[in-house]
Amino acid sequence: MLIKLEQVSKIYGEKETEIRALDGVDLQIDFGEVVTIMGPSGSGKTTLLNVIGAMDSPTSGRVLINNRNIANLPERSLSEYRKNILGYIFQNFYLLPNIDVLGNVLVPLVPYIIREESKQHAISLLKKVGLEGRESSKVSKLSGGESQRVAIARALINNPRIILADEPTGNLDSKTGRNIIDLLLKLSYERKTVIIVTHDPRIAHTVSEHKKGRNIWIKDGKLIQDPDFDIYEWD
Amino acid sequence: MIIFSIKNAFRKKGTAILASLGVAFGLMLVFVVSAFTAGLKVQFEDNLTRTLGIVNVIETSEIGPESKLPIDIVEKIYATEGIGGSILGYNVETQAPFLFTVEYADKLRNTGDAIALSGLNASIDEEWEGYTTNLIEGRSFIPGQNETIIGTNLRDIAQFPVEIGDIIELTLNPINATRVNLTIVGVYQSINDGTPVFVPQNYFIYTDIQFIWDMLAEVNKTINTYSLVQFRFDVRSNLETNQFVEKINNASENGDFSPTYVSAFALATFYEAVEENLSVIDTFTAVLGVITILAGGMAIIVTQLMSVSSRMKEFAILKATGWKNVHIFVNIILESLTLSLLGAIIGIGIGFGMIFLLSGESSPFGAAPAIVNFIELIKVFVYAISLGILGGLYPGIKAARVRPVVVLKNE
Ligand SMILES: Nc1ncnc2c1ncn2[C@@H]1O[C@H](COP(=O)(O)OP(=O)(O)OP(=O)(O)O)[C@@H](O)[C@H]1O
Ligand SMILES: [Mg+2]
Repeated sequence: MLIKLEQVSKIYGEKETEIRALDGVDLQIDFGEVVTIMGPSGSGKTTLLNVIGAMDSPTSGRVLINNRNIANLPERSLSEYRKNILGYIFQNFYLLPNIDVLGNVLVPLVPYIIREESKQHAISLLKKVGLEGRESSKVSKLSGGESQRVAIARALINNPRIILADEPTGNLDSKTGRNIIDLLLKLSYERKTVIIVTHDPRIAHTVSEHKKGRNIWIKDGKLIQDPDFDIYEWD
Repeated sequence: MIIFSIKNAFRKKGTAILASLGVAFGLMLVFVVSAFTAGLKVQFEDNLTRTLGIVNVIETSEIGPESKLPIDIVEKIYATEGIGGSILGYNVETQAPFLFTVEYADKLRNTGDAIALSGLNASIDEEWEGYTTNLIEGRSFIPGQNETIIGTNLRDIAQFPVEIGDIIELTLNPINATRVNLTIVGVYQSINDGTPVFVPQNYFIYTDIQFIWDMLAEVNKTINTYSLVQFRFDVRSNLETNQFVEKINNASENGDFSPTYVSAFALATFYEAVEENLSVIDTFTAVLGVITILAGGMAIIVTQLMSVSSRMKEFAILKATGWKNVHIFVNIILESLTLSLLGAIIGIGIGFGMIFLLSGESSPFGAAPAIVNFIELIKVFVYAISLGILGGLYPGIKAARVRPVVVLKNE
């Protein structure tokens, strides 16, 4: 799955008060790549992820997914795209409290008929993220790391080609966070593209050591090739 | 999806149940009122059929015991042109003065209630299939034996002994205390004409017509008369019946029965009028239904808006996982339907309780039984579904419009 951004800008506000959250971003990500997006707070990381994930449309520029520009598609086509191609993972997990672990993994399929094989798929995904046998646990009883694993399984249920994660380890201690990143790295072996927004330089480091790993830096809405600052100073 | 929505509907149990109860109360009212209306309708329909073609004839301007028709009036009416040939049968009755039974007046249900003693010709009544053939207990009176049959309505409310074998004491002359006893030998099935219980009514007891004549003769030396003659005409509609009514009245006005003048009227006309009034209640029920839908819809809108506002991020997540706008909308509608249908079930439950309570002796709907048929239940569910959809519409649109990007804000 090829992701290509051409001169993508996202501008919030009007004239004097305008904020250029993204400012002429050119970017290409090949399938199977694991990419971290690093940058100071407010630099536009989340905005970039949203534009790629069809959650937000850019003010200008083209967002090509397999040569198809999704920048200005109507909501109908976008939901189709989100359903079939994307898996989203959030800092705060956002599991539904009133249904069990298995139910949460199956949430993306709720509007459709949930077949037995979908259930088996969900169970195998839970096994993959290390939650075997926890299908009927209450999500409120799960630890942070376990919750994020459920969220990852949910993101994978539609068999997406692109996984987008916005600070997936932000609410986790470093050891648990490390496990989650390992899990995401493994996905690249299934030729899934993984894009991770993070503040944590150790994660960036881990990813950069990965065969298909790469780090991207962003500052004031612009991509920076070689950061002229020490990434370890940010925290 | 349905199970998912049902679970979501009860995320906030307190408010959800409160909203359902609000809906339940409204639907309960609709249900109870329409059940009783249906009961009344069936009863009046019954009465209409039962009384089809029956024409009562009394002496003009006189009612009850005061009406005095000479015995040959039956022959005269049979002999009237354009009438006789259509008569299928007749019955006669002579009502005794209320004085005879006045001592029982304060042993009935309401002030104004009275026992009406009336005489029947046993063999004519038998042919007519009148009260003497509708006994549910005991036997009919035997002429010359000072016996009487009473109605089930009297048996049910009398505050004096009314078992078979008990005596009803008639006062012929209060001054010299002339009394005659009638023995109760049977109970006939009285007809429920839908009169509400608080309206004063006459409880008819019947005995042999000759007995009444004898007693009347003893009191004031009169000739034998009938107070009421009933004819059954061969007709298909009340309209046809009324044509015969008119013919009899016209004949009387022409002096055909002179020196007697009679008034004829169709029994069914009364029920027809009442039935028309029932359509007013129907309108009332429909208005009640609309109000319930509006009020219940409001309750559900408020509950759902509260719920939706606090779950905006959740909908954004669902969108991020590929849910379409319509999916989120349908989900909210299903949640509202869950609340309103739960309301319907609770409402029907309470409604059955109310119907049970109100169906007793003190029913404000008269003695008419409430009828719960399939249509009534469907009606309640249709109301519930309408208000569920109505109540879910706006919150549903609001939830569906959420932009998935909001999920990542304010983290
Ligand atoms: N809806 C919005 N309206 C106005 N400004 C916005 C909006 N969303 C983001 N911004 C601004 O755009 C800029 C980029 O925001 P973004 O959320 O992408 O930053 P970020 O790099 O993800 O920051 P953080 O590390 O704090 O999550 C910020 O200056 C932010 O204030
Ligand atoms: Mg961010």
